[in-house]
Amino acid sequence: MSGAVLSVRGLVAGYVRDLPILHGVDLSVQRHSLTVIIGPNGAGKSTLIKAIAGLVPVSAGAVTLEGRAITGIRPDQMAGLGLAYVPQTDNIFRHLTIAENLALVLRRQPDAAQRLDELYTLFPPLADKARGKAGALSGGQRQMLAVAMALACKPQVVLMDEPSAGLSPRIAAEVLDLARGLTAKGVTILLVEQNVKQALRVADHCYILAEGRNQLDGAAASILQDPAVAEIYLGTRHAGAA
Amino acid sequence: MIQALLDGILTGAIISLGAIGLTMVMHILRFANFAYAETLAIGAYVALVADRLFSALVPVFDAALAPLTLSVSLLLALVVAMAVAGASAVVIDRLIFARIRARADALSMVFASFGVALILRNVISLIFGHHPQLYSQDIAMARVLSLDPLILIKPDQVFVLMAALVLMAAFHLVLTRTTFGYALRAVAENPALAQVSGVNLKRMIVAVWLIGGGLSAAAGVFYTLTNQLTPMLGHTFLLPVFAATIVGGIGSVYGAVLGGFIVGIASGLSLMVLPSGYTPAMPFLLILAVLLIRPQGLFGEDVR
Repeated sequence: MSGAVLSVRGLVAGYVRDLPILHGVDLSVQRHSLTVIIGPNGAGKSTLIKAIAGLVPVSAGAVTLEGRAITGIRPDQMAGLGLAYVPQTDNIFRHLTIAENLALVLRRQPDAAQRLDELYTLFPPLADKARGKAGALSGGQRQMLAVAMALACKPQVVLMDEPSAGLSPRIAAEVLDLARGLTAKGVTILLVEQNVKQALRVADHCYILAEGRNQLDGAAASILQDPAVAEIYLGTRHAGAA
Repeated sequence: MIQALLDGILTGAIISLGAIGLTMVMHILRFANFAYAETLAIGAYVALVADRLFSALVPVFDAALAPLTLSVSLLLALVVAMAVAGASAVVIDRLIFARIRARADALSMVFASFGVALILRNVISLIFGHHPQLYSQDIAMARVLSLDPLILIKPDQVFVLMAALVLMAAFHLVLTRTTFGYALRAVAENPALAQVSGVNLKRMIVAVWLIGGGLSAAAGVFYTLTNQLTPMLGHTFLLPVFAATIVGGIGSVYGAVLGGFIVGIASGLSLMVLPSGYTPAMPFLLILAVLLIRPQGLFGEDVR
């Protein structure tokens, strides 16, 4: 790791004007790391990454990517700035084929054909079903396609909103392992996850949010061992038992 | 029966062209646009003016392309009509719908669209009058395809069907062979995801109005080629294009095409069992039937 690639400072944001969900959130994501945001329902986790992605209006604070201010960017400008976002649900175009989904996100890339080959090499199951409708993919494969679409334009940071939501425990673990594996390939990932134990297992760093505010942050491994966190978020009284 | 079927297919092709744009607009902008069918009338009247203009400027263009009543000047006028109607749809959106979209809910948009439809219809009446008009005074002779049963078809009708199918096929190729087409389909399916996939939603909305307006204009011109033109043209097609959109499933371009043919054929066949005065009720019946049996339409998705 070498320095923060994405920084959030004092972010105030919400879907309705004058009714913020986030109340001054700070966050820093290290290069080539996997950072996870956890917290109870309604903590503002998804709102945070949507605000970073320009999908939720920001009323105060700043978001910087590689030192460049990107606060309140238009969502369609994200990819050009080096930011990709994988929504929690409906994150692929089901009526388009897999090849069309990828061609759509690659359409402005000068090396689109080469990049497509790279993505098929990275995700072989997608190559096998390239001409099939994306809606016919299994849950895990859909997440794989969603991640492939996010990676298409070689982003510096990928934002993922609960990538394991709705998946079986085995597939969920595979998806999180996939995210972990991508950091080894030079991708920086910030993800929101309800599956706390699994997320902390693969993450480098963790932020805990509650009621739209920072509660705690630190190395994922140490948070996994924190008795208070274990009691609140892992449903156990002893970290060792988690 | 076969004659009714043929007439229904022809009407269906025209309805399909009109419904393609409506289904995209309804799905992307999430409102039922009752002013949409007026683009058929805008297109038809623009073509009328442009046809007369081209004929006056270059008299040789006025000659009919036998056996059709269609002339070169009307073909050129068709292109102008598609461009003007598309641009009109964009301008109406910018001046009215976009402003309401920014401040109010979808219901306000629906009411506004009623108002826009009335304004457009009356402006057309004010400029062109209420009397029926024709592109050509030539008599289009029908050809006898069969004497028993009697099946008649005009060359203009064959042209209209072929031209409508060519336009639909061209649009299909755009949708399935170009990244612009992928982006259009992506926006129709999931506008929010399309945005984070790098698609500029505002530009795509402009494209949808342009394409939809252009295809509707073609539908208006094709209809007028074999019928009289009055300011009520848009009103006449309002219900059929809505029925086609709902039958096909809102948001589905292919559904709109199929829905158009279903509405057209059902209306045509209904003449065999119902007095002609009841034919306009067929789209209503189809809408009711679809809403009761498959509310999401043939190609739509169940979002319950």
